Amino acid sequence: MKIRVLLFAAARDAIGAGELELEVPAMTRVDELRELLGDRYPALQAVLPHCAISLDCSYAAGLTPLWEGVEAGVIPPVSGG
Amino acid sequence: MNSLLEPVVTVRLDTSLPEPGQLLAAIASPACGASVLFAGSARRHTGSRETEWLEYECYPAMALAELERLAHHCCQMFGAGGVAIAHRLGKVPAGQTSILIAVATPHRVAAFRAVEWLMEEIKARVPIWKKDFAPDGTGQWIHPDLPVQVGSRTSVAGPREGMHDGSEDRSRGADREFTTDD
Repeated sequence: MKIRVLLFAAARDAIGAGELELEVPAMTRVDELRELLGDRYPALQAVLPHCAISLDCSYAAGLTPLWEGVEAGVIPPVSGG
Repeated sequence: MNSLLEPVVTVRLDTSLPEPGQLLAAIASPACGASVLFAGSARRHTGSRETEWLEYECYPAMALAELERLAHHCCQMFGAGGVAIAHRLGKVPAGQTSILIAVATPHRVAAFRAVEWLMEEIKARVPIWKKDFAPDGTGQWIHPDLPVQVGSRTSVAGPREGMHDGSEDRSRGADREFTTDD
């Protein structure tokens, strides 16, 4: 299934892209998406363990399955305020 | 004007901030005897680090959703009749305001506590990031939980671009220090 991945701040800078279209197996979990991203983009590996993952704008735990067309966000530690 | 039954919630992310009085006016209510307004600004010095300007970016849809969720939660937890939050995006020179929070409650203690709670939650979970630029134009993302070498460090276009004089090796940011308000 197709998913969209958005990357921000240091995560975006690490691979030079803020948006990716990925094909992933059905029922891929958030933790598996992390592995997949790290394998495909080694430059992300330093920052990825520190990032949260969101699915359609909500923070998602590692065992949450992705769905067709979902927008996954790679969220480095935030620093607003 | 509003009643406690229908709290007023307004959140905004923009390259400029409204006048503080606009936030206070938006949350004013005869049911609320206290309004507290908080302003966070870009601080020039954080430890040994000097900041010339900050650049904020966000994940717009999620940041707005998180801010609205926090504001509604704030109304429930603190009995607030109104919550207004405005966060600035883009370039914020040192000394200028980056965030405004206003909360109205029936009594003052709840309003003070609500503003403090909101600020802590915003810093902990709303997807907004700042990049801290030094006077020499080098910039670094502030990611509080990342070791210093992970945050990217770049140079803006200018006469110093491409020069490597060792200044970029200064330890800047990416620790638990923040460059605004606290």
